[in-house]
Amino acid sequence: MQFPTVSDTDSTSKLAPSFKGKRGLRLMGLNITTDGVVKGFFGGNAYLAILALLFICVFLLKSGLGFVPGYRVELSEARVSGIELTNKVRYEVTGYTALLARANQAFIAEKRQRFGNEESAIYLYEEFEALMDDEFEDAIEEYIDLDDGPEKVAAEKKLREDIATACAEVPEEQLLLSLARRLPDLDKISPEARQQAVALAQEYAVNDFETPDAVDEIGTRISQEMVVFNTAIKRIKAAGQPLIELEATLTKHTGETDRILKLNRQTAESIQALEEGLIKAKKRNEPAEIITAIEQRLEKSRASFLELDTETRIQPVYETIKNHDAIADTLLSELSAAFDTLPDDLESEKATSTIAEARLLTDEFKIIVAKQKENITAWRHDKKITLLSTLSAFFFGSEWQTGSPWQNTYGLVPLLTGSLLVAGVSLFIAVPLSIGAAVYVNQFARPREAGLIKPAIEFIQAIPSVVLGLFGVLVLAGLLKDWSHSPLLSWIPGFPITERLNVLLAALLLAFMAAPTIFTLAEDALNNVPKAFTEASLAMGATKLQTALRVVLPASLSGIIAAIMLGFGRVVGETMVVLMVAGNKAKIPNFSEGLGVVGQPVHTMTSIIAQEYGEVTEGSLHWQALFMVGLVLFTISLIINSTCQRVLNKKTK
Amino acid sequence: MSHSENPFKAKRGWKQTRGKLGIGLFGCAAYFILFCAVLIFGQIAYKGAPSFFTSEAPYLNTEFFTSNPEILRVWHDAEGNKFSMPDKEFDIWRENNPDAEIIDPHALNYSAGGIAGPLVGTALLVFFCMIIALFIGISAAVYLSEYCGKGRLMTMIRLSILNLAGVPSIVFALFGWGIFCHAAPVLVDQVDERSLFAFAIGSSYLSFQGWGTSLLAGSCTLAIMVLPVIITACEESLRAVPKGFREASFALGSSQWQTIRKAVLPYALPGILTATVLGITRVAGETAPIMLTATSTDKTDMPMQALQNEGFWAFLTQSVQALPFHIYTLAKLPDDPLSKPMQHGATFAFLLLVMGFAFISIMLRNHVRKKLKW
Repeated sequence: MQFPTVSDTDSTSKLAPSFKGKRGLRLMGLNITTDGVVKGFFGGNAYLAILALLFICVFLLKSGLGFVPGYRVELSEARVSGIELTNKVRYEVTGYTALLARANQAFIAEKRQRFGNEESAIYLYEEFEALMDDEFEDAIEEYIDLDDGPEKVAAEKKLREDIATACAEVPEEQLLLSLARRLPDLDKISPEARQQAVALAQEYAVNDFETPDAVDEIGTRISQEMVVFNTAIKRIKAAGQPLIELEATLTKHTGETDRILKLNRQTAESIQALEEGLIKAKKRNEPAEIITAIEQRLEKSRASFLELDTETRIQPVYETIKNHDAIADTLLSELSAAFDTLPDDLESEKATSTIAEARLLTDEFKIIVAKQKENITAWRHDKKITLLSTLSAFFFGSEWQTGSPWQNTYGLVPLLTGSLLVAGVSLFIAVPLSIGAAVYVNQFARPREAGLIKPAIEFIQAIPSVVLGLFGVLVLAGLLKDWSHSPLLSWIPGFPITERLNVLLAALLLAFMAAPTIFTLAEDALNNVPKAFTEASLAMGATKLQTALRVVLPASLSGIIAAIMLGFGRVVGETMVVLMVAGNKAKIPNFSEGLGVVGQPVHTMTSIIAQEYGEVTEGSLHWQALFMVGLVLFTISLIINSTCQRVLNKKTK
Repeated sequence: MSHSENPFKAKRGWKQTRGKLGIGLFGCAAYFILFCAVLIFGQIAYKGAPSFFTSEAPYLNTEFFTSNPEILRVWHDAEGNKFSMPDKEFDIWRENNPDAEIIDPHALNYSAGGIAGPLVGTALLVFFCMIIALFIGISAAVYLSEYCGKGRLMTMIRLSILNLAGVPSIVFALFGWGIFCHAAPVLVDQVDERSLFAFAIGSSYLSFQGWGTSLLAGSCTLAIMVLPVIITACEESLRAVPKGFREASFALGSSQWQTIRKAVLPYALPGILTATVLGITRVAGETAPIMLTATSTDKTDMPMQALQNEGFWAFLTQSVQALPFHIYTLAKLPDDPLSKPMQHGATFAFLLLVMGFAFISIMLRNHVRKKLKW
């Protein structure tokens, strides 16, 4: 039932002017003026809503759009100086470093698997050696000074025993702690290794502080046994060297150019400011000494311009980059050859899988290098950066990197994918639940039951997001990680989870936040379906379930879609939960894992603002970039809102 | 008369069972949401309640509510006895026991003391925000329901309000941070370097250099954010006052302002109160806006001290602690069992506070809707 409230006030406002008009004629005095003022006052406050919205629009636009020319200048500088080219090479180096790291990991895993005991024995022995030097020095020297004979034999026996007990007394945690540097993630010292280490330490003591040959022997044996692997690693390392050197040369040269360009830009800015100041000062007829002071500063600034001919500065870069193709080709062939020398079946499972992974990565790396080769050949330093390419660098840039010593990159894609991924997963969870709940409350629940469930779910809406975030960090993150290792739940995509904070965790909490919003709006939409529909359906003999699913739900579909969209808006705009539990890693998630992508950490548009606001200076490019992100968020929310309002308004008519 | 031929008797068949199953499934969805809520609430209450109470009379941990967050000092002595005490107590203890051996001392930030500072800060933020928002919101609502016709402007205002309601809080935060913290006008003797522009008024300058991270900036940001909620709720309550009241008042010859003041506003008051509580619920729970505009982590003294020492303007333009931001800070602490009581206690207190207001607003709304039927 709807009461015609709107027409009520209509008649009031129709009535009122006729009265007001008459009285106005009669009095023409204070009364009307007071009313006018009051009306103006109230009206002004009402227009504040429009003003606020406009003001937000204008302010965001102003602060955000200043970003585009600023970013264009930075990008142009990067291109003219050649930093852009260096970044391309650096990208290859990063890929190569990742490959090398994999190979090293595999090497360590394999070594641990085959010679773990011997290795820990050696390192343990070195710990014990230090112990000998510290505590047994006198005892050992005393023993050494003894003459040969039964006395010495007895002393040797005693010394050995003392050493054995002293070594046994060292707590395992302490040893693990000192070994952690060389043998990371070692969690237990095997008794054999310990025994061996003690024996070595005894030898060391008895032989007048001389490292036993056995130690070197073990070392040599290990390196002999691992020789194939070791050569492969050395080969990989050697193969990458030219590329790394190339990158270093380029970095040094282009970095210097870029620094000069930036300095000159600053000088130009200050010259401009000084010139303006000078004109103003002259207009105001300021005293002569102030004007001369400004003129002097101007002279000084002009003199501090650094000579820079970008054309000649860039020539060495072109010269250096000519070698790139040859270097890259050798690197690729060396890499494949090195990985081919490794046997397929290593003893350690981890090593085998890591090597397999590295081989796959090598293939990917080949494709990347091929593409980069083309890019590098096509690269010209004098191609102008247009407005369009600046905008596309922001909206389609695949990297958001701030605080880098070279050049900050502001690409929206990682943040946007993060936001959409989190929102998508959370809606996937929230929509069935909340629509189901809405249908139940509206169609099936008894009035009393509905009267309890409805306010209870609305009540959830008031739970502050920071509380949910804290709950996520302290409780749910640990639970989720534990659950994800249970074999019962292994069918869920992304399980088992390696990162504590990830998309799924954020999505679960956000789903809980979005559910009440979607529920309330969907319930309203269901409520707006005329009762006659339901009655007609029931009269035809349909069951309650059939009526709900085939009649009521389709009739309210547009309202429900609007509810889901508004829920989406709420989730995309949520800050605290995402900031606290989504992992804050500004990188495009790796979609090659399929649905398993939900186990990765992401950054979102909202959380980047909340995280980086503290480190920007007012008016800087970074500050403007944050406003640009805010502008994108604002636009998204406006589009969603106005669309939904249209849908909802149509429905109520 | 055949005993088995009642045509209206409920049928039992596969179709009916399927129907029941379907309904059960929908019911599960509804109860699952509630179950999650109970679980989360229960978990926080179970972990947080111990910080509230003590085992001795008066059974309420008054220190938790009346002292500021402090550093907790943790160490152990040669025998392995573990000690932990708040920073201030530690200083006194150290003076009394100068020879006591202290091994492996470390400090846990915010893990001792209480939540008085954040509580006061939140209260102040909400108070000033509601003053601003109610002033503007009620006026706007009066205009919308009493003066404004059904024209194009009306539609525009309405659209703006609806759109404003959907803007994410972080965008408001960004806006408030840019405007109030960095560009708002302020009267100063010496123009700051970062001022956008300034002009002289008498001996001092009106400089657009912003209020900095401050109570005032936070309140204004929150006020703009909560405005749509307040306007919509107030307008609803004003429209609920029957037109007969206005007509009777007009018939007696009163002006429109008199009508509004004497015949409309008093009867809309319960609704406006509901709107206020609703607004408080919304504002008290927000974190992102105050994080950018009002709070700082290094603030340790109570806000009232500035009022006593430096005057009202300094009081308004100081940064404050606030409970939601305090919880965010606590959540980032390194994992240590000794930090847990503070984390859970503060969260539980905050949850109780916000949920209390939410509960009152729902109760009030139902009460008003039931009672005010003209």
